[in-house]
Amino acid sequence: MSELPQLIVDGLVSGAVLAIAAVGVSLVYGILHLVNFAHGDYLTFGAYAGLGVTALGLSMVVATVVAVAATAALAVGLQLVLWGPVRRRRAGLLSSFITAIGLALVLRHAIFLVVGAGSRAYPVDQFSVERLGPVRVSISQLIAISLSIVAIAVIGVLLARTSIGRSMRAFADNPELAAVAGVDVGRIVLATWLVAGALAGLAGELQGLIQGAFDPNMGWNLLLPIFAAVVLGTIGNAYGALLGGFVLGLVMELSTWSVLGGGIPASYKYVVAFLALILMLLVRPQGLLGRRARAL
Amino acid sequence: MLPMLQVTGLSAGFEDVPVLDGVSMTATPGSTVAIVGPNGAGKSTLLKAVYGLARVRSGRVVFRRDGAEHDITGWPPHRLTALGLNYVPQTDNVFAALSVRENLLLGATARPRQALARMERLLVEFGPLRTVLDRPAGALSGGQRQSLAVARALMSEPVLLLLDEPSAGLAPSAVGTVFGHLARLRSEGLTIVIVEQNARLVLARADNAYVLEGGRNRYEGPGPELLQDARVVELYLGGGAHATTPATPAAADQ
Repeated sequence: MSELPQLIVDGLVSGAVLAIAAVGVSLVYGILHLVNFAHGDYLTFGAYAGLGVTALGLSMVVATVVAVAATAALAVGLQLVLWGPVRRRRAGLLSSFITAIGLALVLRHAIFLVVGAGSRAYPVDQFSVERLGPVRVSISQLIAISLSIVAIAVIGVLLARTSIGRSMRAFADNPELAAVAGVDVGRIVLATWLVAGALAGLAGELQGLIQGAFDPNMGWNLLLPIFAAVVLGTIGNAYGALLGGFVLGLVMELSTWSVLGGGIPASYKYVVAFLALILMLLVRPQGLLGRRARAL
Repeated sequence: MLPMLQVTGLSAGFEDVPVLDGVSMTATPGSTVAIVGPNGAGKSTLLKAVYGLARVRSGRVVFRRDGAEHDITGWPPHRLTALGLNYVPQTDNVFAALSVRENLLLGATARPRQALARMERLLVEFGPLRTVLDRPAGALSGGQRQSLAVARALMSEPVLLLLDEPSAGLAPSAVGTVFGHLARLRSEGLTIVIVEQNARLVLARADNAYVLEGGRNRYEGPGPELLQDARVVELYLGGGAHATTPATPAAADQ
């Protein structure tokens, strides 16, 4: 009878990683009105940045710091050389979206070129498992859930309590008024990418950890569940994206529960995620947190 | 005394639509300056052009403070806020999704030091806001919103405040409250440039006023005098006033 608690724990772990990736997508959409189709590949970039560090014989702690910093730098760099110029030329939503798809392909194939198509893994013992009551948790899962919780707490404090977070929410609410009120718009744009990139780097590394082995398609494969989490939790709402990530993670794992008519094969759990999304859009199109005025 | 704000031959607009055509105006320190005129005269655009929200094509905007002169033509708003200007838009002028407290603190973004102490001081003057500090600004009444918008602008400690139609859409009692705030700010020495549709209301209170028409200067003079000027009354105030003394049509069309 330990199946259900085990599935819940697994669901929380994958949900946590989805959640921190989804927050980044949601912030970028809410503040910059950009649907970043390349976000999944930002995750892949972070995963390989971390892997590069461990290949040098350094610890996972250093790898995590580097993954976060390098992906944040990538996101800020792309704002400077790509999104900034695209915005200055007044690209519409659709042009930006197509640009993001192109960027996704370029990033993914650049990573393929550098690291090859084979699967890689972090030097973490995949078979080392802790028993916590009825459930078994791998070291990777423990790292993933604890770092995700730290990241979520940091993001929560950043958005709710700091001046830059307040400015970001103000900008999402009313960009023109934010400028009028003295907010440096350029700074907010960079801060948004910095945060979204850092979260993508962390999510990428954690996803690589909990998957065990990963290849350059990892982030791309995760992109649609991330978007589903964003929409599920109300698009543009950062707290909603967190919630959406956890709900989706749980739904995906619980769909394999054997009590539910034997459970569905694990390889179909993404399908269940999308069924959940479609159902949600039919019943509550504004998303889980959609009733409130559009707070972040 | 050198003017605090000096606009010279300003032509500005949005995208490729020109609105202002060589407008000039000044505001001396501590004065209240009214900008009036019919719809589409370019009153709001003048404020936006000064505050970096409209595209300036020619002309100059100079701001003087503490003996220093700054050519602020085309500066972005956040630099102007830091310099001591602020602007209250006509509509959509609070962050609806943020709490009243957050709206106020956001106003201090350009001058973050001692923001909380400043907020406390402002809440003495803007008493009714204190009771709704944690409510989202979107839930406030029109009058409360306008008070909040003005209070938020004051959080940046401006010496020059640009106000776009503070009475628009407000109930008469709320208009009284807002103009009460303005009278107090004026007595505290703040320089105010105010655009108003309700010209009678504002001309009676303005040290100096400019009448714009079609994006150009039409008349200027002390507010109460313009209020008595037969042509101004007839053209822009809908007649019916006891217009007796014709005032000087200073700087008409150039």
